[in-house]
Amino acid sequence: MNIEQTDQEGVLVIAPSGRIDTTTSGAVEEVLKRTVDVGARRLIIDFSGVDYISSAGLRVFLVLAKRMRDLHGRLILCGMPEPVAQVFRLAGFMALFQVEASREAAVARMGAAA
Amino acid sequence: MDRHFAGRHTQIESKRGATAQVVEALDAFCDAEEVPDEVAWRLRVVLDEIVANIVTHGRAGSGLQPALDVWFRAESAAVEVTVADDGPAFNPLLQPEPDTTLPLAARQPGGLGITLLKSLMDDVHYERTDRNVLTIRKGLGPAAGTPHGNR
Repeated sequence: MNIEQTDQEGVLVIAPSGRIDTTTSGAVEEVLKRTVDVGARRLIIDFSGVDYISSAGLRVFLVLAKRMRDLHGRLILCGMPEPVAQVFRLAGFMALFQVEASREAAVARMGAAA
Repeated sequence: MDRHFAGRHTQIESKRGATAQVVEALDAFCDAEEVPDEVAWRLRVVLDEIVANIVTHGRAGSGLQPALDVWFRAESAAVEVTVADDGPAFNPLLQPEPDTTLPLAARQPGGLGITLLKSLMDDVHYERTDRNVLTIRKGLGPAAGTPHGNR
């Protein structure tokens, strides 16, 4: 599990890669928690390098969504490969998040709302 | 008398993470049998759920990771995996599923593993013998990419 963080036009983009499952979700949760702890309020999660996500991973993003809402932050997900998109759909998570096809589209949407 | 299942058998050691060991064994099986990616990722997600559940519920009883065996079988048109464990009786198919239509404020984490288990496989079968025996099945046909309904 590798987790890349990039500042793109003033927005923090977090891009985990590999599998998000019981074994790796703790590391993803830790990075996201720390990022929000130090003040990030405009976050994009780029899933384009993620092979698949299990319910342990879904839990991490549900907790993040709730926290960002409480903090009046903005969270946009993007770049979901089909296995990730399918699990989000089955879990009813597509309605809980703003989802864009690409990182560029996510950055544009975040900028438009700034 | 322990029951034996056909297929590639992996016995999980109790010393290290069970989910990681099962996913490793699954990877080796998928490579050897050239299981299509579309089927392999579903098996990885579902086995992660199943084994995480076994560890959680097994520990609740004894504090130990229950003895765990996995059998992988590749048929011409489907893949089947059987997981057997010595934990307390636990039928995942009877666990409550969360309402996936609720808004964010009302959603609570948990329970989605069961929803994924039922949705991502074609067939899930639970049997209680002297162990918990769970068998999952996924077809390899052209319909493998078709999302299956949850109900």
